[in-house]
Amino acid sequence: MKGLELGSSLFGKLLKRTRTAIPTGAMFNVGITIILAVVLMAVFAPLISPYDPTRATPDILKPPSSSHLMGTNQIGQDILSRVIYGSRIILMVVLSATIISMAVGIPLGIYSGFIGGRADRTLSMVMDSIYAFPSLILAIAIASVLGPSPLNTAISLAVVYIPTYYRMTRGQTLSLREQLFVEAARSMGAGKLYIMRKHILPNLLPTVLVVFTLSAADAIITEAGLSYLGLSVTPPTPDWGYDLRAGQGYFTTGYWWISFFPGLMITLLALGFALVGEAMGEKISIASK
Amino acid sequence: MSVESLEITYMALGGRIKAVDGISFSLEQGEWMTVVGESGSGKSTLAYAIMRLVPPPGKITGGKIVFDGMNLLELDKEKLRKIRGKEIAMVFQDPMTSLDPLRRVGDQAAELFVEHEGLDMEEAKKRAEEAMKSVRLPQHVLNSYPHQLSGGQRQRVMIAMAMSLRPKLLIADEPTTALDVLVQEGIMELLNSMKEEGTSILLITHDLSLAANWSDRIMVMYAGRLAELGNTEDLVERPLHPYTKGLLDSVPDLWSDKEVKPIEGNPPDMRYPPPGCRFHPRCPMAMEICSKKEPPILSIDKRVVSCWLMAKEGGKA
Amino acid sequence: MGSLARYLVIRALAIIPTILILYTLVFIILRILPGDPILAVLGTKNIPPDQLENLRRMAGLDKPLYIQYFSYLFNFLRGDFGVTITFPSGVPISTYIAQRFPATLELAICGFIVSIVIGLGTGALAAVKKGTKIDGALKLYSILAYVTFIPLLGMVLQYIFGVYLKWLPIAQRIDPGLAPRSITGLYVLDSLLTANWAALRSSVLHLILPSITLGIVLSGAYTRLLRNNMVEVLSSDFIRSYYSRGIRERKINWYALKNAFLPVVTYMGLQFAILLGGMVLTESTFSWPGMGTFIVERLDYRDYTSIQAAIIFFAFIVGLISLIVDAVYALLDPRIRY
Repeated sequence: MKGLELGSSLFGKLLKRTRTAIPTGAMFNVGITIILAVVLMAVFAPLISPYDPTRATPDILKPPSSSHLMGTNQIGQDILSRVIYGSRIILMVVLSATIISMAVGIPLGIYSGFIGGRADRTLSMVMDSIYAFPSLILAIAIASVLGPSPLNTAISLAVVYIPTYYRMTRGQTLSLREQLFVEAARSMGAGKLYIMRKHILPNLLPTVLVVFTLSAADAIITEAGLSYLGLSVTPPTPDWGYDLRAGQGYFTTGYWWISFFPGLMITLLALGFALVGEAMGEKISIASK
Repeated sequence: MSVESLEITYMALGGRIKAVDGISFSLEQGEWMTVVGESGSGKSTLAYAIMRLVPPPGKITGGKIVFDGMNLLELDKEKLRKIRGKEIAMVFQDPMTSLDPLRRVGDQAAELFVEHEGLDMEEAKKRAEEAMKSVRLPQHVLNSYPHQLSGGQRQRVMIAMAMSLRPKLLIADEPTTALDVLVQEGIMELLNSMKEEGTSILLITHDLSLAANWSDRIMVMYAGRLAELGNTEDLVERPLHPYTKGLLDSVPDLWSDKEVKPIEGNPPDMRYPPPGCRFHPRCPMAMEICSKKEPPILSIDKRVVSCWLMAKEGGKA
Repeated sequence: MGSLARYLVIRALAIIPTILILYTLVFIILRILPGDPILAVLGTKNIPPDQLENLRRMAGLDKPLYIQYFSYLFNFLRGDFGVTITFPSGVPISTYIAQRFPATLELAICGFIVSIVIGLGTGALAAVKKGTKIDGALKLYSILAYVTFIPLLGMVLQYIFGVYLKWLPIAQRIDPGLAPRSITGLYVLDSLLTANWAALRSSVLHLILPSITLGIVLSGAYTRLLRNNMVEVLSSDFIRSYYSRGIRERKINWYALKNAFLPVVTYMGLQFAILLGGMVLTESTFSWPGMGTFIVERLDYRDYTSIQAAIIFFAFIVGLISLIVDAVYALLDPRIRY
């Protein structure tokens, strides 16, 4: 029961703080529209997809037309349908990776920032090293060992982005730790865990949102890179990165639509997250001035 | 130089702030005038305005600044640029951040001569050496980077640069606030020596005793408006405006057992300035009219005061 | 200048733990993760046990873990990166790296230069025109730039400039047979050194599209960073002092740029990691024979030892770049030296 109470009170606090962090303005609106559109596309894929994305037909290499709005690829699959279904994979992988990253990175960051000392220093050094390493290559390393599958891609991505969340929460914790209300709580005898939970966690939310959106944008690109390299899905599963690679050879001979549309979607989805993240970041920095 | 009805407005998030609201005064060649006021009185803004350096979101929204027969506010950018540094020079408050950290001091000093007198770098460097001598700084300063010098040294460099082209007017905005008292004396001496060579000095400070010791005339500002303006000796001995009186009373005197009386209250929030006379909430002699109508600007002998109390004594506007 | 040397030595020592951590991390990933790494990478094909044993020995997996850790590191530092275990098998990996790395380096340098030029140019412009439509447009550009998927941009450029306009080549480093005599491995440099003008022209032409692709995507981050820095610098006290002395605006903007540029240098070290990540995709798109395509090819062949060597190699490079960036920063900022 305690857990439920804690959860709902925390949620209430988070909700209040979120409202102040949501900006208005064109950048945010465009971004959130893009994200919502793709999410809806993923959720309602079976309903809106005109064809079965994995069904090969003899209508190969047809340019965009009224029957195939995005054309067909070299084995006759409808690209629009593949694009629609492809959103599922990328969203699932990126979202699950982000959740794992946050679940590991945030508590570690809070703990590290709060406790300090040797544990903090060692952990920071490790995290900084990972952070400095090229994310795609690290992801390749992990994914290559685990084997190609969307789940393993998610795990690789998760590992790559843990330092991002770690660093952010650690930084915030360090500055929050010095603030008066924490001092007050400590002087009243509150335990460390209590302080971390009740005082530091809720204050992190605005920054977490910004970091989440911006690293989601990055993760989308990295995921696309991994599936482009063949480390994620295997045919015939529709996937934006994989499809782009499959169509690459045909691009310069004039069959541009096979690679173009998946590539466009990758960029668009990442753009959506980036716009939202930037808009929120601006709102927060204005509010703190 | 004369300033007429100068108005400077800041567009802030909460609304418009009239940092300077209708200030007028004149300054003769070779005269030292100090503008005294609390923080927020608008004195620094006034100083920046003369060279049109008011930072956004501030804007000069009214009035004239006549210098050498020209209205500075109407000059085009190129003419203004030629005046800056050569005819009018300025020394700023914080010496620690007033120099480019990536360039040697000598280069920054010599640049003035290259820019304004068309000298080449060789000759400019020689002139820079002379400038350093005149503020009694050793030559190695020229080869140093700003971070290698102390605050006092940096301020002297700034003054040297301000002086080097022999401007007609030197504006000094709290030049010694960030420095310790001993260094302060030296800086004031420097300014005085410039005055003796004919330069007009406009000093901005919150330190009334500093003003009293060095200037010819003092102008007291409060909340963007002129409170009182007059000869230093007269003003200090016979202050007319209650605010001036209050300031004098709040300064400790080393030589007597005078009781120190700070002025009650705080400077107003400039977004919502008090109606009528802006000082009235803190004024021990406030009358009913003070909270209703803005006091007129009266001149009595050589004194200018803006107070209803004086109006009763039949001064002229 | 003694303090500069001392500073660099201290920084160099600080890099060593980072490199070691990365090496350990990669080692853990590649050796300790559950499952037989050879089988995982090779896929579950049926391999006769003695062949499997052979492969394991070639990969050095037959010894206990801690011996593997140190002996591999030791060999690596001596330049022995092991041998390939799948087609073609038994080839010393160092030969590949010696061929491929210069290609990657050349492209990385060019891409880096392009990104700096674009990034600084647009950043400074945005700062000077702060608040105007140009500033807003550039902000949008910078966001769009860094989310663009590299293969997409690469392909579009290839189509426009290679296929449609036929101005530029779209794949490889140089026209076949024109490779200059190898001194540094960097074709542009080598052709200059050997006065081989045909090679110079060809290699430069081949560099253009991939560098621009890489450069555009990287520049996004610089634009924003520089713009924000420069806006701050432009409102700082010493700039106001410059104005008060009547210095020309052009000069003032230049001084502001130099000051604003400094923090960007430290950021560049981080950006290099992103650049290396982008290399893999860029090389793939343009069939550029570098480390990126090397990893991709070896992935296709499931050549475990090559992948391992390449990644550890990257770890060392990242550390080295970090050090170089620190050195450059120290050179540019007099406050650190004196």
